[in-house]
Formats: sequence, structure tokens, C-alpha cells
Amino acid sequence: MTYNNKMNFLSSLPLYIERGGGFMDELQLINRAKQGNKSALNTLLSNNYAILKGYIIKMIGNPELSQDIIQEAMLKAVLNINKFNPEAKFSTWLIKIGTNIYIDYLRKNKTMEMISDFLESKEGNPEEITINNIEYQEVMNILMSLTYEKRAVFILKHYYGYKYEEIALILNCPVGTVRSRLHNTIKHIVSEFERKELI
Amino acid sequence: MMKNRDKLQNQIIDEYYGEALKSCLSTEDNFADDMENTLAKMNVIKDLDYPLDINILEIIAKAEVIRDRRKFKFEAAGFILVCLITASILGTLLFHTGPKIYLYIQAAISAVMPLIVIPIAINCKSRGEA
Repeated sequence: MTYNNKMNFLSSLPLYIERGGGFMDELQLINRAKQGNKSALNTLLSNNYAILKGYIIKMIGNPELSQDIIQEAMLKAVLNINKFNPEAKFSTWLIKIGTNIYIDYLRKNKTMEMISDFLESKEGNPEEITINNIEYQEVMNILMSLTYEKRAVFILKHYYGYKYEEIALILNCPVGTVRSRLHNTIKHIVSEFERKELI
Repeated sequence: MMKNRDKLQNQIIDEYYGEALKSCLSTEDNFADDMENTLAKMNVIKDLDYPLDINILEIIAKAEVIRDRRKFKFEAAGFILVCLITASILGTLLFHTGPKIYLYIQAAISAVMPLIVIPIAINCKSRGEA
């Protein structure tokens, strides 16, 4: 490990502690997975499946494409597990792989179809359900109108509480760019809500 | 004026996400309230979920097949390369020194090979058992 790597590793430690521990467990699982332990690999992927799924579904808004991208991301993660350097969390790495696969997909396919599905609501009266569905559609439309870079920054920050540094690592861009993208995105979303008189 | 308002809004966003210290900032247009209401509405997709057909064990098995195929290709390429190098070295020696060298090399290989191959085989076997 070089001096810089050591310093990066030490500086990233507080992130794990801050996120409620689980770092040692994950590190042990990663080490076992690198040695070829399938059970450890399975646990590692299962533990991080929900976050990857949620992120990709929100990014894409299309279940079929989401499924393909999640499967490919997991496959790539298994194939390249030995290249994973535990300077960052495993979920960060997994999301980075998923994002790169999605970017590749966007390069190959210029257009993407969003599925206009409705939220399944078990609670509330029909009026509330209808209002929720309208809001859901509006939210998805606003989210999909953003560029993928801005969408990724917003989703990672708003729904998953990632820090600017972690998002910068995922999207491979400077922290300042992440910050300005988030600022612009939120101002845009607020203005869209105002324009559509949703608030 | 516009720049100041932008800066204030940026500060409010950073504060909202805990990336800046709280400092009771406010703008004339109630940006903080509007932002909080908007972001609360954005939470309608927070738990968005679709049933997906993903089997992690199947993915791991598929990855193993791909890895084995890659390993086989790599080993086959390595074997062919070593064969080509050996054949070309033997050919060059044969060309420069005559056919006698071929017999010497064969005798040397017959004598030395068991001393190399047997320990390696024992080592591989014991590793496999462990």
C-alpha cells in the first residue's frame, strides 16, 4: 500500500464509523469473497442489493432495463472482486459499476422509455391514492428530465444521504462539481414544482 | 444581488443536507420553505420498488463460468506461446549446431524433468487436498 493509499484509507475511516459501523464485517466478507468464498460473496451482494436496486430503479424508471443493469453490475462486481480496494464502501463501488453500465447503455441507445406505472398504495382513500399517483408521475417526469449526472447526484444525496466526497468518487468528478450539480438540480426542481403549482 | 441570492440558496441547500453548519439564513422569496416542501414531495418515490427477477446465486455461478472460460483461454494462449518459443529455440539450436544437440537436449530433459515435475505434482496434490 502506497503512502497516498494509506492516507486515503485512513481518511475514509470516519465515514464508516459515522454510518453506524458494520465496516469490519464488510471488510471480512470482502476478504473472504476475494479468497473465493461463495457464501461471503452472496452475503455481500445480498446486503447491498436493496440500495443498488433502489438507486438504479430511481435512475432509470424502467423495471426491465433496471433488472438488466442490476444483473450486469452484480456480474461485473463478482468478476472483478479482486480489484476492489476497500478504501470505499462496497455499496459505493457497486453503485459506481451500475452507473458506468447505465452510462454505456445511454451512449449506445440515445432514447430511453420510461414506464408510466403507478404506485401501489394499500392505505388511504381513492382520492388520496389518485393524488399520490399524480404526484408520483410528476416527480418521475421531473427526475427524468434531468441529465443523468444531475439525477445521480440528487438521488444519491437526497434518498441515500451520501456525502459529497462519496458521490464524487462514484461519479468520478470533483467535489465542487457534485456540489454545484446538486445546487442547480434542487433549484430546478423547486422552480418546476412552482411552475406546475404543486407547492 | 442575484449572486448573493444564489449564494444564500446554495448555503440553505448545504445546510439542509448537513454539508454546512446551521446558520438561520433566509431569503426574501422563502426559498427554504419552498425547498423543504418540494423535497418532501420528492419523497413520494423514496421507497419505489418493482419486483425484479434477480437470483444472486445464479449470477455468482455465471461469473464463475465466465472466469473459468477466461482462465482456460489464458492458459491455452500461454501454452501455445511456450510451445512456440521452445520449438523456435530448438530449431535455432538445431540449425546452428547440427542434429547431435537434439539428442543431448532430449537426454538432459529425460534426466532433469522427473526431478522438477514430481515435486510440483506433489505440491499441487497436497494443496488440492488442503
